[in-house]
Amino acid sequence: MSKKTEHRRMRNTNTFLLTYTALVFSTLIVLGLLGVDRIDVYVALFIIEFFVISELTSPLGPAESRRKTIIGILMLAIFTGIIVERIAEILR
Amino acid sequence: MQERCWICGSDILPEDNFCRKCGVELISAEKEHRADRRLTEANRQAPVGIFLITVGAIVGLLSYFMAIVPMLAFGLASFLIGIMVLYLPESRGSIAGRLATDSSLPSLLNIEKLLEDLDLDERGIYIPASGLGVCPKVFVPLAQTPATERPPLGLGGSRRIFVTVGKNPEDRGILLDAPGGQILFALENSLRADLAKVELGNLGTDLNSAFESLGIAKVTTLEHQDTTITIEMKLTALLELEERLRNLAPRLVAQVGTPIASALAAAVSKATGKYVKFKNAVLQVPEKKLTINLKLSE
Repeated sequence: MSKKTEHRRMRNTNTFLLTYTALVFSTLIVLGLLGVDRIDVYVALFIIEFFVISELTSPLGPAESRRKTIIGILMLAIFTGIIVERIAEILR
Repeated sequence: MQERCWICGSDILPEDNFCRKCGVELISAEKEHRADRRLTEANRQAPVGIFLITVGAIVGLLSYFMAIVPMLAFGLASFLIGIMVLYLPESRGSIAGRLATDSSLPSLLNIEKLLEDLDLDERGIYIPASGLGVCPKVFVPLAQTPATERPPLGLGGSRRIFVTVGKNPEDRGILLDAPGGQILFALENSLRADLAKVELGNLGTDLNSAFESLGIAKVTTLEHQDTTITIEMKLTALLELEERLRNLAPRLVAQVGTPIASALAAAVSKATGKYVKFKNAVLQVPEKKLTINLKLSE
């Protein structure tokens, strides 16, 4: 990887927020055009994107990382809820 | 701003960074402004976060009652991003940048102490050198004499710090490795060229492209007028180091130059093959603009 490419990959909160926003709204448009009408699909994808972007833009500073971990735990809880609900739906 | 030292209580001048009696670091206006700036940065994000949360909540609630799933998802996304904007603080430079600043600061402060202890007030002279990766050394004379104005070119190979360049007792000074030596090395590596072989007319373009590829600065311009060279650049990294050095090492900044300024002076010295005397380097923090003036001599 060239030094120029390395520099462009700015690892900070702003990059994280901008990339995440772009990805979330792209997902919204794509799923909207596909006619998906289950809110859990949207939310699950938002959560997966959060973890993907988190990894791609890490490491952040200590304070930012700590706060992002808290958001990550909440996201994971919601994601687990969606999965459990889906499994229950299949088993019924 | 304090008018007396917070340790020994002795009177201080507005421009002092350290107490003249006990040597403790003083709370300067710059530091107070820095705290204000942090607050401003935090405040700048708040309206965006609040706007996204409000839009998200309104759209989400309305579309929930109207059972429009894509709009509900839009509201949720907006709400989620709004919370993140408010909750995650704005970054103040990358970890690599902060580490670079923190690790290079002590060695630069040592040079500052050396200049202060030896009571050297003259500007540093960059001795021309050539060869890929070879950086010109800086000679800081004890006094301005004909001999110290043009130190011998052979000094570039010397490993000594205290050197004598003439017959008189005042023809002495210290010989330092340029603080920007490693940046110059990186610049030459990036260009894959020895700057001693670059024409002065092309130096501005080469420096612009090399600094941009290293991620240090963009839009580097070079103006040449007789024996004066003015370089302007917009910094994209190391701004914190530049700021801190101006506060902590005023002699180094004025006489030898900060790492970026020193790299530029060394680059000009190599490209022109002339002695380069460091004149000044002015940093405009809000615009992130660094203006460096150098003087050439044969």
